[in-house]
Amino acid sequence: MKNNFLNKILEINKSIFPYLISLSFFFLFLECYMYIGFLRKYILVDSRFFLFFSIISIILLFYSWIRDSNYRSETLVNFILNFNSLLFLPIVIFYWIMMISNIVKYSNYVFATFHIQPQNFMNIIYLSLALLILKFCRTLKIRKIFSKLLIVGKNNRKASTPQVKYSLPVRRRMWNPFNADIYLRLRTSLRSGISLLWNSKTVLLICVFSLTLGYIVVNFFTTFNETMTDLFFISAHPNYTYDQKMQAKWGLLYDVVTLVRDNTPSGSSILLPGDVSPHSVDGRIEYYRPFLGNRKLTNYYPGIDINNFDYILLSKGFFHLIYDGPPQKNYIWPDFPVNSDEIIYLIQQDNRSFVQEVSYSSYNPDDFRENNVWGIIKIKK
Amino acid sequence: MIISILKQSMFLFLVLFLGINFLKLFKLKMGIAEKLSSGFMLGIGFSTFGLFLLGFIDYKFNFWNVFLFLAIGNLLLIFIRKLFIRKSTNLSHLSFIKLIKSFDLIDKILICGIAFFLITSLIRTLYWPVWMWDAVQLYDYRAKLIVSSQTIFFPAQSFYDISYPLLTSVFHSILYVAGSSNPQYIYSLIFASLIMGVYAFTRSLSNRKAGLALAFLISFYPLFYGWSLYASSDLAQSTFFVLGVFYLVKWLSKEKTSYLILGSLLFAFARFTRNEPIWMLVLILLVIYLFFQKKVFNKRGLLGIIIFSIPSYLVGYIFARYMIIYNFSSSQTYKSQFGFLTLLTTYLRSFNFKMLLDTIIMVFNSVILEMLIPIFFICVFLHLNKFKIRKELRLLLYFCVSFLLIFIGGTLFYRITSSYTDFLALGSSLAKFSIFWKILVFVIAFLLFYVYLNKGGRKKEINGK
Repeated sequence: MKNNFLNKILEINKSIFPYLISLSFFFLFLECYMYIGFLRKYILVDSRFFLFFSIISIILLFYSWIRDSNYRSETLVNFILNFNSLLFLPIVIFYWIMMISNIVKYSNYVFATFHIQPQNFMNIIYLSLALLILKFCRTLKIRKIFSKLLIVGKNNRKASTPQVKYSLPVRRRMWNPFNADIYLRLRTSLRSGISLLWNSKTVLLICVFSLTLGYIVVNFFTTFNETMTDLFFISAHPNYTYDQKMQAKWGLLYDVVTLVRDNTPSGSSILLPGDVSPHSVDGRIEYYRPFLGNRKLTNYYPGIDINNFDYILLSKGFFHLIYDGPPQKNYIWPDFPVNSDEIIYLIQQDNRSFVQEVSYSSYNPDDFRENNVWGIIKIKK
Repeated sequence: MIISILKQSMFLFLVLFLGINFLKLFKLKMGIAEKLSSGFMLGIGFSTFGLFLLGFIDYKFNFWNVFLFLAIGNLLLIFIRKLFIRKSTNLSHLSFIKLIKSFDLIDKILICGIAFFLITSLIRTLYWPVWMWDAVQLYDYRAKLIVSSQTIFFPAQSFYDISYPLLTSVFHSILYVAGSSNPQYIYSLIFASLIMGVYAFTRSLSNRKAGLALAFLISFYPLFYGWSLYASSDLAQSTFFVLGVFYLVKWLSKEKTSYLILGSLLFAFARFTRNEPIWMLVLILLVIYLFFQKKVFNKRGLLGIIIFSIPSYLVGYIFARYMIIYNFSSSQTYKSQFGFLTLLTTYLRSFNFKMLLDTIIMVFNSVILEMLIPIFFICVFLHLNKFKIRKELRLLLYFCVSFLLIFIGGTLFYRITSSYTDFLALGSSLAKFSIFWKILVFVIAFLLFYVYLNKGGRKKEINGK
C-alpha cells in the first residue's frame, strides 16, 4: 500500500511531463521576450515557478527509470527529449552570441535592439541542460549504479524491515482525487513510509546524498558560470593590450601605476607615502617597481628632505579594508603644502568613473581633501 | 612567435622527461597518469633546484645553459638506467588507441568534463598576464631579474626579495629564456598534474570510474580551479604535498623504499616552493606512526626517518645559505631552519586563551567551513562501514586529522607572533594554504563511498567469518 501513493505520483508525472516541459519552455521564452514578472501579473506565478516544477518532474521521471528496469517511455516523452537534444547547442550558441554582442557593443544592446533579455535566457539553458542530462542518463547505464546503491542500502537494513519491490504494479487503478479513501490510504502510506525511514539508515543516506548533490551542483555551476563569463570576455576582447588586461584585473591601482609611468621620465626619483595604514597598498614600492623601470622609489618618513625628489605621489589611500580600515573622507597625502610646477591626477566624478586632470598651481592639500584623488606632483626646482 | 613556442615546448618536455626518467630508475609499476603527474612535478623540482644549485658556481642563466642542463640531466638519467637497470621499457602503455578503446561512454564524458576545465584554465592563463599581486611584486619580478642578470644572485633590493624560496621564480625564468612573454600557463599544467595524481592514486585503490569521477570533481571545484589561474606558489606547493602524502601512504602500507624516496623528494621540493617547516611536522607524524607500529627503533624505521629528513633539511639548509650570502639584515627566524622555535619561545609569554579561540574561529572559517559537507559525508560512511577499512585509507585519515591539528597549531603560532591586524588578514592565505588538505578530504570521502558501494553489503565476507 505504501508504494501506491508514490506509484501514482510517478504515473501522473509521466503523463504530465511533456506538457509541463512544453509549457515551461513557452513561459520561459515569453518572459525572455517580455520581462521577469510578466506572467505574475496574470497568473500569480512567474516562469521560474514552472522551471522549478519541471526540474522536479525530470527528477521524478529519472527515478521512475531507475526503479523499473522494464520502463518504457511514451512517444511524447521521447519526442521532447530528442527535440531538446537537437535544440540544446543552438540555444547555447544563441546565448553566447547575445552575451558577446552585449560585451562588444554596450551592456543593454541585445535588449535594446531585439527585445530579448539574455539574463532571462539562462533559465532556458538550465531547463534544456537538465533534459539533456536526463537523456544521457537514459542512454548510459546509470541505472545500474543507482540500483546497486539501493540494494546496498537494503542489505544494511534490519531483517525485520519490509522489502521494497522495484517494479510498478501490473494493474493500475485510475486515481480519483474525490475519493475519500485516498486520503486514508495517503495517511497510512505516509506513516509507514516515515517509520520505514526512521527504522533504517535510508534517512541518513538521503540526507547525505541530497547535501552532497547540492554541494557538487553549486560548486560546478560556480566554476562554470565564472569560466563562461571570462570566456565571453576573452572572446569579445581578443586584442586587448597588456595595459588593458592589467587594468581589468587591478582596476584603479593600475591606473595610478600607469599615470606615474606615463608622466615621469626614466631615472626620476619619486616619493611615495609610508608603507603603513592607510597606504598599505598604494605606498608599497613592490607594486610599482615592475612597471617603473629605473625610477627611484622611496617611502616617506619624518625628516626626509622632499627637495631631493622630482615627484611626490598624491594619494587618498585606503585600498585594503583590513590593513587600512574604512575610508576617511577628509584624508589626503601629502598633508603638507608642496611648491610644485604641475599636478596630474585622477579624480572620481560623482562617485563613478575617474578622469584625468592637470593643475599648474602649487600643491595645497586642502584643495584635494574632499575628493577621491590619486596623482603625481612635480616638485618645483 | 613560432620559434618561441617551439623552444618553450622543448623545455617543458625536457622538464617532464627529466622527472619521468628519474621515476623509471625505481622500476615501479605506474600508469601513464601517475608518470605524467609525478614526472612533471619531479621534473620541475629537479630542474629548478638544479639550476639554483648551479647558480652557486656562477652558472649563467641563459637559454643554452638551461638547455644544456636539462639535456645532460636527461641523458645522465638514461645512462644510469641503461647501466644499472637492465630491463627493457614496456611501451604497451603508450598505445593511446588501445587506451581510448577501453573507455566506455561514462569514462569519455568524465574525461571530456575534465578536459573542458583544463582547457579553459589554459586559455585563461594564456590570455591574462601575470597579475596576481604576490607574483607581480615578487615571484615573477624575481624571474625577470634572474633573466636580465643571468644569475640566481639577482640584484635584490630588500630582504623581502629573497625571503621566499625560488622554485616558481626559476621556473618562470626557464620559460622567459625560451622566449615566453607570459609563463602563467604553467599553473594550468601543474593543475593538470594534480588532477592526474589524484586520479592515479584513487584508481589504485578503487577503479577507473571512481578515479575519473573524483578527478572531475577536483577539476571544477572552485578553490582548486581558481588557483590554477594565478601565478602563485600555493598550487605548486599543494601539488607537491598531495603527491608526497600519497607516496608516504604507499610507503607505510607497502613498505617499499622507492615510495619513501619519491615522497621525501616531493616534500623537499614543496620546501623549495614555500618557506614553511611543514616537513618537520610530517616527520613528527611519521615518528608517531612508526612508534605505535613498533617500528621506530628498527633498522627500517630509522632508515625511513633519515631518508625522509635529508632532502628537506638540505633544501632548507642551502636556501638559508643563499639568504646569508645576500647579507641583508633580518631576523634569525628566516636564516635558520629552526628559527621559528626561537620566535615562538620569545612570544609565548603573551599567550592567552582568547588567542586560542581566535585561532579556532579562523581555522573553522577558512578551512573547515567549506568542507563541512564532505566531512559529514566521511563521518556518515565511517559510521556505515563497520568492517575494517584498508590500511591506505586509515593512513590518509591519520594524515588528514593530523594536518588539521597542524593548521590549528600553525595559526596559533601566527596569532601569537603577529599583530592582530596581520592575523585578521590571514584568512585568504590559510584558505589557499589548505588546498592540499581539502584534496585529501575529497579523496577520503570518495574512497569511503567506493568501499561502501562495493563491500557494504558483504560484511561477513570482509570480516572473514
